Amino acid sequence: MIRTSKLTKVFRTEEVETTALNQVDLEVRKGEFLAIMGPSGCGKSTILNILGLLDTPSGGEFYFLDHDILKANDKERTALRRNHIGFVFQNFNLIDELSVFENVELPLLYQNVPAAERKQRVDELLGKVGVAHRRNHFPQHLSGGQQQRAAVARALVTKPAVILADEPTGNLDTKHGEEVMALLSDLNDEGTTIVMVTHSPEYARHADRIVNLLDGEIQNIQDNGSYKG
Amino acid sequence: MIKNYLKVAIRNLVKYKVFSFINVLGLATGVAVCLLVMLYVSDELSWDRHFSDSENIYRVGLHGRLGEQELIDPITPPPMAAALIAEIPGVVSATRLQNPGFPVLRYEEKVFSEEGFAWADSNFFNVFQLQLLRGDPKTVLRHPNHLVITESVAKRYFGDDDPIGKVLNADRRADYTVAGVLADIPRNTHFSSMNIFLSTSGRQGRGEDMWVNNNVMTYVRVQDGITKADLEAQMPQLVEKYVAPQVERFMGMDFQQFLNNGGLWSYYIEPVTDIHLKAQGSMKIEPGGDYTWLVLFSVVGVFLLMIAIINFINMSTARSLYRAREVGLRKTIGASRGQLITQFLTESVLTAIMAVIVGVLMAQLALPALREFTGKPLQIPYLTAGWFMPELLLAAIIIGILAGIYPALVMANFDPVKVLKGSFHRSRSSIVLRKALVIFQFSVSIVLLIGTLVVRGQLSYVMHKELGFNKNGILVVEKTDDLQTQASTFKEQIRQLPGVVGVTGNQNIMAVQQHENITPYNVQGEDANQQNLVWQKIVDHDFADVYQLKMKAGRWFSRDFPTDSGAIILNEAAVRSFGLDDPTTAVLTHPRGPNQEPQQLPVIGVVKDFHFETLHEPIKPLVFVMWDGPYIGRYQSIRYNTNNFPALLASVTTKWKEFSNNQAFEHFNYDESFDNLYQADIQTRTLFSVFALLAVFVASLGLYGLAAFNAVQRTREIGIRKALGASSGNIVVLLGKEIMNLVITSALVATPIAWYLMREWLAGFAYRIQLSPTPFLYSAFAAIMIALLTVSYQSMKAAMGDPVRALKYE
Ligand SMILES: Nc1ncnc2c1ncn2[C@@H]1O[C@H](COP(=O)(O)OP(=O)(O)O)[C@@H](O)[C@H]1O
Ligand SMILES: [Mg+2]
Repeated sequence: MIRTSKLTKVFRTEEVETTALNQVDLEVRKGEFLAIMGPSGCGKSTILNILGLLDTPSGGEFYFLDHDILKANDKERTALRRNHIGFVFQNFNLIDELSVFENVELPLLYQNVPAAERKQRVDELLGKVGVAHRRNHFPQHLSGGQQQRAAVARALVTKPAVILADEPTGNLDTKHGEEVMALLSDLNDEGTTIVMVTHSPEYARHADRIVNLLDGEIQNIQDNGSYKG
Repeated sequence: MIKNYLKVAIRNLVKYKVFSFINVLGLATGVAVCLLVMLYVSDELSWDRHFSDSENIYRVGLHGRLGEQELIDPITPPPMAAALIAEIPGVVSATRLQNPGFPVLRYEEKVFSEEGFAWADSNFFNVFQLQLLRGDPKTVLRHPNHLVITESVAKRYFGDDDPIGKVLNADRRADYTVAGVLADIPRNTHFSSMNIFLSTSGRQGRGEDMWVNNNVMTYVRVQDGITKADLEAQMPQLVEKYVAPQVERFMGMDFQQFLNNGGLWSYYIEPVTDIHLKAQGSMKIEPGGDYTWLVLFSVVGVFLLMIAIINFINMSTARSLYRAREVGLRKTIGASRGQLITQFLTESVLTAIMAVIVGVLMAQLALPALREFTGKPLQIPYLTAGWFMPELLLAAIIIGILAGIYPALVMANFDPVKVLKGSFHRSRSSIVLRKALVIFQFSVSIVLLIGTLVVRGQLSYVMHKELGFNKNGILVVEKTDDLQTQASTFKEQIRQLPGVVGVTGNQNIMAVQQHENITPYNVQGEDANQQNLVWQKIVDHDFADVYQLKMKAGRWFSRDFPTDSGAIILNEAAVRSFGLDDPTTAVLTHPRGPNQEPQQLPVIGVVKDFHFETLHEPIKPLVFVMWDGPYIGRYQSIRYNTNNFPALLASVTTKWKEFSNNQAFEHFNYDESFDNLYQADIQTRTLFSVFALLAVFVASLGLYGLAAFNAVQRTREIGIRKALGASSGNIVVLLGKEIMNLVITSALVATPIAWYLMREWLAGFAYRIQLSPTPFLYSAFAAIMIALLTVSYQSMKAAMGDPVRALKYE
């Protein structure tokens, strides 16, 4: 469902030119759980942002659900992102001015989903990630784990084709980290495609494949053989 | 969706209280000022528009020149109206209005001196379709000695009795019959002070065919489609046909030669709806408005609102960094640019709606002061005008969009990857824009500050300038002509009262009631065609004493010289104008004396120049002639020298009642009325001061908000500087310097603008202060101090901050 070939990303600032991604060939299959690992600065976030259509590649080919992204305009990318992609960030990134319920509801608002359906889906997901009892609280009043679970719920609410998670456990202690990993595993078992950046070999073991990145290039891809297709 | 926008908008307004407060207060101030200016302006623009067909009514005026004297006034000769109807295509009707004086009317024991008394042609109410409560507009003024009076006048004389057919006696000379009653004339009418209209029929005869006597106002009503230009094109033909022969006959001058000598005799046309604001000439039935200032203050009102909008733009863009993460997130989740722009516009429109509500409240609170200041019964037409409420909402939406669109575009363009990573910094261009906007605000403020100082300076100069006579200590009694033959005795008895130094009878009151005649004279023996038009003042023996004029040469009129009744006195300007080397031996010729023959008048004295008009006007050549008949004039000026003014006033009042058969005693203190001549200038001063204050306030408000955000943004930089050894003092200076640069730039922008505007304003005064650098320097200095004070709190806070915490901030 996602395929890149010779994908390159170069950042140009006034003084320096950084090649963050160099000739990356990668395929993400439907229902797959893919982990991306590598040292800090190797380009993990960059590739995730590109896969999530937040950033545009400098060169190569990139197909998302058979759309040629290098030829798409901002409007088309927004539409694809809105309907098919869910994001989970290291620092949760909930909107402070919105309650938990409203945060999760927001993507549906942008999709113009009717109110009754919104309520039903948000409540269902809040139940699933286990923060239903805090639905009317604001993010500041939640623990890190609760915030991240709410963020996962927000990523899931539009029933996206793929969830992109950038170090979702990075800011969590072990106990809360494991809760979130268990949640992602369950979701993958139910069929959601997941691409996750992580530093932890422990958590990477949940994945079907592990991509090892170094200096913007893929070193190797490790297959755990658990992908069922 | 909109609900979500509103929810977030409200939460943001509450969360950033200072920000919201500054925005709402600033915008509200702008809205309040605009609203009040608008009320005033729309009132000024409403003048004479209530007449049906008002756009087809015009007034004719005379523009003439003889020698160096020019005359532009809405006065016309009596036969003009008939000629217009007869000879100008498209003229439906023409009517005349004349204000012959202030008769005293009596009905039984009711006695009033009437100032709103006019003569009007029988078709007056066809041209001006005023509401007649009683009587037929077509016939009501047809009969000689018939009157139409307003409802209030009717109430005053007849109470609840039927006024029709009642007889009013005028000056114990004539009886007039009330034939019609008008609803009170709307306040916004250029002749609204007129309340009694006397039929002109039967008054024709004397001068009725004189085209060189300009003493009536002529109005025409034309067919649709006839324009001012159409009418003006027809006027030269009237001049040629009627005026030219009469100039030759009555002025003894060939008309062609008159033109060759640089003379001009033409008629101009002005729409009745322009009279209030743009009337030409200085002669007015009642004071008009000033179109230039109307425009200027509308502009200032709009500028003030713009300053507030700029605050909003500035602070929103400054604050946008705080919201960058939210924007990035929303984009990540799938918000389109359009949705984000809508969201931010919702917020700014919401702020604007709050501001409009607060602004209307502020305007309501300020309304009594504005009413007092303008003398207009202004109202905010909440419900009386159906358009008002929707208009307010529309205004709020427009203001919200104007204020919000730029920040919304900036924020909607944020790159989500950068903002979520935190590697996001404000762009150069938005900083430049923000600086430009601050410069705009302060330029406007400084222009207004300079204006305030210059206007104040000029007014104080005007108020304190040596006038050449003594305006203090004079009590003026009005309408002494109502005493008729008793006037002289009255004058004599007043003079005997304790505390009275002298009394003089006057045709008019210098500067205050200006009706000096302009008369041609020439030096004896010189070419009669080289006539010189000069101002002529008719005085009695006591005038110079009472007003304390100073003699330059010769002497004032004296009772010891019976021949003085045929002599004249000049002022210095007249001496210059006639080019006299030895004025007291000169003789001037008046082309038409009492028996239509040229009259020779020896000059017996020269008075030092004095200001017989306001300082707006240069001192013009003036000739005094003696009036020594028994009739003393409309006023008597009493010079007093007493510490007990109330006692003096009481004794004069008693005398008046005794002489006038209980007619109301009308009087004023000359110096007060004289100072009142600068009422319009004083209003200008007040307006400048108020606007300057408001502009500075709103601009400072914005600067304060900006400084607050700036300080936070620069926390890290300041931390580093301090870590490198900068003292708190250094930091305050650093932050202060930037503000100073901005304000100095503003002062440089403001200076030429203010210089130009003030030079224009001062040009309206013949006697004026020089534009010196002082007000400019003071204003710049004041603006810098205000700006520094405004940001000082924020700078201090930033400078005193703990560098370690500051460095951890990012
Ligand atoms: N907006 C940017 N401008 C310039 N360089 C960038 C930008 N974003 C990332 N980089 C550079 O690209 C490289 C990869 O960064 P990133 O993908 O964030 O690494 P990781 O997430 O693996 O730690 C780094 O060298 C980083 O400095
Ligand atoms: Mg990263």
